[in-house]
Amino acid sequence: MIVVEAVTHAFDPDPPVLVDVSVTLHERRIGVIGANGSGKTTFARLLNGLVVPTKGRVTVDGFDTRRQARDVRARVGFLFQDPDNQIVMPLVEEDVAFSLKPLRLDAVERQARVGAVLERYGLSALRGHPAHALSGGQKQLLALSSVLVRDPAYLVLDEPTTLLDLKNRRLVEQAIDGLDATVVCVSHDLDLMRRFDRILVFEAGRLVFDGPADAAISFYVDSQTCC
Amino acid sequence: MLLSLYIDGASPLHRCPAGGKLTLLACTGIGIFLVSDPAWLAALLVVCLGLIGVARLPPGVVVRAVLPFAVLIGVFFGLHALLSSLETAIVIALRFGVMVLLGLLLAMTTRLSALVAALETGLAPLRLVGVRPERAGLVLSMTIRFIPLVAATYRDIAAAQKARGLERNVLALMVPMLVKLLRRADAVGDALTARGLDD
Repeated sequence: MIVVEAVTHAFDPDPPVLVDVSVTLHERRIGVIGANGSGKTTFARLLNGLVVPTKGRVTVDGFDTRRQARDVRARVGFLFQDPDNQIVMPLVEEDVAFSLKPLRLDAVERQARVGAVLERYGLSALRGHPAHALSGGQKQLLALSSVLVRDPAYLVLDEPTTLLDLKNRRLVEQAIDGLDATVVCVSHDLDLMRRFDRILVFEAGRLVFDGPADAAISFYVDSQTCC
Repeated sequence: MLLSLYIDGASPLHRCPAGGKLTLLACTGIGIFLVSDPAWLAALLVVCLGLIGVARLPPGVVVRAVLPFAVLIGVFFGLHALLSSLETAIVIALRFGVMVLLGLLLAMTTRLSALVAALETGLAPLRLVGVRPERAGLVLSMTIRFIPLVAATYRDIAAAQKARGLERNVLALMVPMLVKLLRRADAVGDALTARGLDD
């Protein structure tokens, strides 16, 4: 369970980007929506400890993101919008194996885990290929594989389909649908959000709506069209 | 480009440990400058060509990889033939030829991950003086990984500036290039942290 308690965050000296946000996340699929600059990406980054709150605290299964960042990151995987920023090794299988480095596994187990995750996301045939030669969707699936190979209990996705065409978007959406982990997904893709159990709507750094997908999306669409 | 040179295979050279191949390359690189007999250097070049056969590398791929170096070696040969002597030019060309072929053999038969692991093992004793070998390995991997991305960024910016008629303006190319690369560096740092690889 992820608990966000009275969190305010500001990038000094600018005004706060998040103001007094409190929420407990335990559903399997949680969406986060809001206009550009509403604070949703900062909220997502709080959950993995990439951003530490100025006030308040965030805990993941009881581990505090401020003091126990390593434990938090072992539980919370993070997928970025642009996979090119996330893939750091030249070859497909090397990038997935790189995620396992801190676990100090033996070569046989490492290869087995890499092979299994690549198989699951249809990248087995590309395991020896250069990452830069993959399509956009394949790159995002590789980035996802590199996160999931560590078997995180939670996965935070920051606009994972924004840069993708329709075909690649569907590939990534199918992968998200099949995840065992609890997913928190920031997105402007309202069709994707409709499939989620719970949606948080952010506006000017505040959590302004928290509820089921249909009601939250109606609220968000109304708030964006009335002015 | 180095990152796309590795060719999957099961030849004896593919199976050789990366550390051994790196050590051999380093020793040859030093030793070759102690040899100045063109006959010995030519023999060494023939051995290298034989090793390419042993590694069962596709000749077309090898030729394409060698070609840019061959041009460079040709330039060196010409300069030395003009400014020094024909024998010196032959020796220099043969030395570079051997090193290029050995370097390509290493890159084409060794996965980068194996090279990085060998580098980390080789640098391990330097821990005593504060060097962190895993960081050196990461720097090597990331340098190779990001070469095509930097090239793609340059191509995008150059096309955008060309569309504005600014293709000859160095500032119009370099300023957005620098900004984009710094932003990417920030994003990559965040990604490494998020993957638990920050320390």
